[in-house]
Amino acid sequence: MPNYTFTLNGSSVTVDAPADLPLLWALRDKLGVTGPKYGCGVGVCRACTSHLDGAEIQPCVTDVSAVAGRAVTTIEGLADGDTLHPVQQAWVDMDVPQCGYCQPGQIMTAVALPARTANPTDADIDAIENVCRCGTYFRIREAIKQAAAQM
Amino acid sequence: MAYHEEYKSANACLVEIDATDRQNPRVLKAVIVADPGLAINPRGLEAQLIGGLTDGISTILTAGLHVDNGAIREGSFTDFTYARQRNTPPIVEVHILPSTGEPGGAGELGVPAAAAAVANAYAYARATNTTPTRFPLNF
Repeated sequence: MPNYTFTLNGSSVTVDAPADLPLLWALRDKLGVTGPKYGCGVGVCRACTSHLDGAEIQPCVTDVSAVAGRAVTTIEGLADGDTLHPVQQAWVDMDVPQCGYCQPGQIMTAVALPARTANPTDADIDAIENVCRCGTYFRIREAIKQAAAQM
Repeated sequence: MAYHEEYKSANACLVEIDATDRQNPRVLKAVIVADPGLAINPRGLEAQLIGGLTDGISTILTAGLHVDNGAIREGSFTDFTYARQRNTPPIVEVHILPSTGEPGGAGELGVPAAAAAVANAYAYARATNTTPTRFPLNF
């Protein structure tokens, strides 16, 4: 199988994988990075949401070959050492997670949002498609607003 | 609004709904009051009730399954349309009544009152002057 080299959370990694292996399985099974979660496998639930060159992607529908030479960031790469990203800190402050399964994806989506707009409106937040089966949506909304105010 | 008692706990839910588009109503605001007897983890209880609200909204407005010749037709979150952010209210208040005694349960305490409140808000002349008897409304 071919090798694919990319930057993962600031470090160079190489995986031996078929070209069409979903990035999610390269991350989880070959590299042991389990923050991105498997939910639907068809890019709908968004539990796996991560960043590619700073933009939101769904690794379950992204081929590993497509990220060669590029920079992938998962929830594991968000904090600066022991200092949480403002969105992570807002999540802690607002007690957002319940079961927690979708939350890495929710946070990575939320981080990508203020990168596009400094003051996310309710309409901007309404456009988020990530599913939360515990129904934490209201606290997610509050945490995004709090984080945006501090960024 | 609606009221529900279960597992030695009680709660009431008041919702405001925008049914201008009858096919795509949106709950704009919800106020929940709960008496769990004794709240051991009030923030956790609030979260559980917010989750119950989301479940109630989903059950009444958007999320259902079809059994088709014995098999479930829906295959993923693509067509099982559990509430997304856009289906949930941007304003939610949860009030926990002061402790009065032994703790009750709160597992799915918030679901029936929230579901009934959404159905009532949509139904009894409040918003559409209709009386739906099948849920979710989008089926």
